Amino acid sequence: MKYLIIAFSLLLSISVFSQTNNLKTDIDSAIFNSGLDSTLVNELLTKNTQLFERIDSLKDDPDFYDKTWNKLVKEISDSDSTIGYWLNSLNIDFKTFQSEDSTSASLGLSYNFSIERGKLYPKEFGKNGISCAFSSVGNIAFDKKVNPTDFIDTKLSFKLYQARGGVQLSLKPDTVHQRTLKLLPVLMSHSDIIELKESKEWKEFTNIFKLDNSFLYSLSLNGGFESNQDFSKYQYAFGSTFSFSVKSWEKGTWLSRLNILDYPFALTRRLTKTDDELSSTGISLPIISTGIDYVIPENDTLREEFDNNLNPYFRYRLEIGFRTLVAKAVKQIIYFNAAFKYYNEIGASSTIKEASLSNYSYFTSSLTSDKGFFISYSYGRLPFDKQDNAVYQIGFNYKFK
Amino acid sequence: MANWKNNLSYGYTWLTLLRLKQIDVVFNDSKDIKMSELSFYNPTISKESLQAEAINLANTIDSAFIVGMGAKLENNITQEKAINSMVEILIDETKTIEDLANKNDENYLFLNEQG
Repeated sequence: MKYLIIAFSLLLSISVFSQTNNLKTDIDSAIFNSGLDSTLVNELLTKNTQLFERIDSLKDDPDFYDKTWNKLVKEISDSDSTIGYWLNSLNIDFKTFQSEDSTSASLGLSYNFSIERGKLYPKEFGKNGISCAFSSVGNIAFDKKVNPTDFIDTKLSFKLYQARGGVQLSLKPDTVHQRTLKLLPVLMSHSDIIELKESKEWKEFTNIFKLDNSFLYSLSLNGGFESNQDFSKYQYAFGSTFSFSVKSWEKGTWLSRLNILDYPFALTRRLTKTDDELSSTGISLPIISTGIDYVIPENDTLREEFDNNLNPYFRYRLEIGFRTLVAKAVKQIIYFNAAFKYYNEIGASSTIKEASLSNYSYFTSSLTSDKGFFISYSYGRLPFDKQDNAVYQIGFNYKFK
Repeated sequence: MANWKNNLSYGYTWLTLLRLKQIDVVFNDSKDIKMSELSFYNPTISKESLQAEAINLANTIDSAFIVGMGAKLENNITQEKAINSMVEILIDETKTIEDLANKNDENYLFLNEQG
């Protein structure tokens, strides 16, 4: 019941706010025809205008909705952990979508719902796991014409994975355990991170506590439903995905030198004196996911113009993600984040190719600061989009707990 | 809730995240750092990819605790539960290092707590 109250209260507020123009006119008329003294009428009309100006400033503010949503989720989670578990599996992020020519904008939201259950089998050098998950992710703009990423992906997946890597101790395990326990309070007592990193205790800890490269391989089988936000276009997709993630924690390893995507950022870190030497890092090695799907188009008027029968087809899919430290400057930690997504129809007919319906690519990147400031840029299109869109966003995320 | 300064799980969780270059702050400044501020948390990738990154990190933290720091699992806690609990927190951008440390406190028994 509370769950329903949350959803409806938020949607109601959006709905009420969208009707404020009519409401203001009605109240103005009622004041005007009230027969009150003209001074009082003018004062009431001014107050009414100020009130609706305040409402107008809130109704397009995604941060207002974010705060309202998070506050409601927190209150309900605190009072009912079961409903809290389900609500916390649903992430909602309100945002403003803007068109490429910046002539129109719309309030909207990104949502992400995921439930996963699995088993893990520890092995000598890592772990093997299996899991089953249901997930749904998408963007919804309240004015769908301004939604540049109008793509909703809902699927069920079964996954097998292997995680390898861990810790390499340079002394006997018991000795390392006891030394770490002794060093911990000393390391915790530091009030300056540079002093800490230069302390003999930190040097001893990093010397006895070495880290192996960590690898994760996963293979999943998935079946799902892809649509645009009003479900006027949809298709089914069944396929498999292979994901590979590797991290090299120590400095100067061969894997960190292979991280060529990080080279420009190694330079920015050196120039801003964030790093004391020019070197790429292995903790930002990109994650790669690739797969093949069998796609069954069900309702797609655009595709139907070029393929009357809406024939099923095979599709290749790729995603590369990358995040690295740009600099620590002006008391801020700044990260660069990027993702590239690519979909290509295998063996597409010349008609489909000429209509630019055989492949889709989408690139999104952002600079984010730990103080909340962010700038983002996205370009391209996802399945169901007619044309490439460029979207810029600039903003500030408030921290509140 | 335990005192931030006097709880072994808080100290070990902070130390491991620092060693894994997920954070770069002293212990006293680490409590309220959100998961979205850790080095691994790329907000632009798909949920599946973010989860794969989180599993890779949680597996390494688990190895650091058990192999490197001598921690044991609490009674009735499996390694699968301990790692999955970490993954659930790691992929939630609103959770903090304190939340992660509290969960680790529930699942692991650190050296001086083993009696």
